[in-house]
Amino acid sequence: MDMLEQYLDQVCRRIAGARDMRQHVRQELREHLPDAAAVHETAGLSKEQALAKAIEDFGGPREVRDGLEDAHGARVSAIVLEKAMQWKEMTMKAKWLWTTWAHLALAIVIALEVSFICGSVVFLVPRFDYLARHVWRGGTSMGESSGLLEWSLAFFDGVRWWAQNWWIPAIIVAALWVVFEWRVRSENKTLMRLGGMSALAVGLTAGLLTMVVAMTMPPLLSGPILRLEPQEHMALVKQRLENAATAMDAAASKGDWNELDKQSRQISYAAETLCNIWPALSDEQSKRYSDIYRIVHHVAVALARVRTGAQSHDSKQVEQGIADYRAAHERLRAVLDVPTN
Amino acid sequence: MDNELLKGTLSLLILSLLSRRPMYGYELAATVHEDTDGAFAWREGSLYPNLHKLEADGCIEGDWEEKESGRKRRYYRLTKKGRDVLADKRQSWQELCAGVNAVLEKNHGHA
Repeated sequence: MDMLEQYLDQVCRRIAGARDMRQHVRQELREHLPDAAAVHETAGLSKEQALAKAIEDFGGPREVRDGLEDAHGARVSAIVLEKAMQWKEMTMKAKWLWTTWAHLALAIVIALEVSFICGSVVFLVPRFDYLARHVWRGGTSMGESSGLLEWSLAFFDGVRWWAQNWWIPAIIVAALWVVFEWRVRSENKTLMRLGGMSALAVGLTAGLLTMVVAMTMPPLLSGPILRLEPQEHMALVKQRLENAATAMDAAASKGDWNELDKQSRQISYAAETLCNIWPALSDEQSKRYSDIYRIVHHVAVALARVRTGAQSHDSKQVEQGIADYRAAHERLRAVLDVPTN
Repeated sequence: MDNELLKGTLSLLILSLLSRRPMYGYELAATVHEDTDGAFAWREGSLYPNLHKLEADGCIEGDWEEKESGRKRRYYRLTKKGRDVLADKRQSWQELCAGVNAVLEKNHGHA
């Protein structure tokens, strides 16, 4: 739009009255200014300079507009629109400040969540894993492994896998971001970016909450979370061993391969737990740790044979494995039956 | 020149010029500039609001005329009412000038 029309827009846009009248006022001014500019051109100015000088001599747009509004009145709709435009301009200046803060806040939230997840994977998950596998599962009053605990263990196995392969999601996120910044040309790009960051923050929050639930719910819902006294714990593990051995024999006689596999695992967990709690017993008992360790190793080898036989439905292997286990179990019982105080 | 004093006399100037012959807006401004040898340094944009007010009051009336060049100009001419108003304003102006001059003369003697 040229200088003249732009000036006339500023001067005439709020004049009230019929459209024809407004057009006439505009036309009148449009005729006046070139006449005034012609005088300045004659004086040596260029066409543009002459017009600019004529407009300057005519008066500032606000001043002339106010005079015309005094004569004709002002259109309410135009005033409202102008106020709205002024407000928009004012808020647009603050827009960059708010969008910058929104980006920064979301980036901080995402960074905190990623840090928490990394810290949990490095420090908390291994401890939870130990407690879950060797304390809660291996003979506490949790009794049979709770479904929730098994789900938790499987969940953290997944978390560990992603932690070891962290570069996969990192590359995906980085690639998506690069493509977005490079290719997207929408007016709403800032909002789209904020939307993406918010979605990532929400996803991380969901992941964090799931981790918290997986860590806290199984022990809270299924039984005590504190480790028992070593003596009590060992008594429970012994009982567990006996029960599982009886159940394994019963499963072998029935030819129930799945139950056989399950009970052999229970015995393995209980035996591992023994190794873990033995050092916490009295000094006298802990001196026999190497005995226990050796016997538990034989137990593990025998049970591995049982599981292999169960999985391949090989009765002979299962029988041999059970026989080896019974021999190791007798030795274990002999050690465990030594007074423990 | 004090523009505030000039503002109050603009209607009188417009009516007076139009009493000579019909004129369009730029012609009015140019004639004032010429007659006063450029002494009146005013914003030409203030001319049109006054013209439109006088037209609305019925003191003048305007018509569009198209020239050979294709340009259109709105010519204003004095109405009967305008002549009467002009006469009143001229009388008032002369009385005002006389009164002001009288005061200024006496002050000048004491300055």
